[in-house]
Amino acid sequence: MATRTSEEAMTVNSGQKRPQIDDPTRWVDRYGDALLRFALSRVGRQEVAEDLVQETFLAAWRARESFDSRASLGTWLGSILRRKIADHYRRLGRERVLVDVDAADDNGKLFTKRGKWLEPVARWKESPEQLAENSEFWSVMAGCLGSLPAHLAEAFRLREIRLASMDEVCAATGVTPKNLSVRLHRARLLMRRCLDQKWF
Amino acid sequence: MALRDVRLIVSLSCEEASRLASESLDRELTRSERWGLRMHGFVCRSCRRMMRQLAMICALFAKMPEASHQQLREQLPRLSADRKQRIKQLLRDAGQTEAL
Repeated sequence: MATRTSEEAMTVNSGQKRPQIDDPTRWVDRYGDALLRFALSRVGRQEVAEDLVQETFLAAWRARESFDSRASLGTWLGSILRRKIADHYRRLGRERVLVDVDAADDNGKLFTKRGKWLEPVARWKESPEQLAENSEFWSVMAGCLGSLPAHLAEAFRLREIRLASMDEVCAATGVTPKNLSVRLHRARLLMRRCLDQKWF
Repeated sequence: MALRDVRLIVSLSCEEASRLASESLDRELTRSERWGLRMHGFVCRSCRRMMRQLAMICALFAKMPEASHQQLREQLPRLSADRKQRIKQLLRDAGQTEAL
């Protein structure tokens, strides 16, 4: 699970005996968004990801007696979600996960069949120092990040903004190192193109 | 030097060069990869710019102002409000069914 979840889980869990297990509706407020983002980075579509999170909460409620109160609730919910994602892909008849999000031709092509740039790369005139102090630039940057497909935006956000290590990002998004490299490559090129079009 | 390395150095495509440029931000490239990227940069202006720009994007985030961090947090994907309500209702129903 994302590091945020485990931190939250630890602070919530300290001291009291099974503090949150009795009111499952509070689980939704506390862990819903983090679980959704994890699911989204594996299945790519909001609707499917929400279904999986819903199944996760209901399964967790039914299995609540098996929850070890010394463990983190976030981690436990995360492990249930992983199983739900695996089931989801099994239902689709695939052993290999990740195919549909990563095979999708998101936001169009950047290169020709022979691997040449479709559009030449333009020069950026401003220096990083000038840009960093310009709040309008950061708004455009945020807009560009928001325009990326969710699984790419999440990889980019964790790596470039949260400055997580490759291993940490793999753990938080449930993908292999090879796959993460592919996602970061794609995300960086799309961010570059978006800034090129919207700013420079 | 293996044939594969020679090919890497002399005939990198722009797409492969951009992949290596991205990976150079995440891991140490091999010597052949570094040479391949450098050689490609000599002959390709677009890729020279792309390399600088990817590195610049990476460096910029290190200087990101706090207000922008906040803005980015707000636009993270979330469980929709409708869905949250529905899940809570389902959980309450499940609780009541068991109590009966």
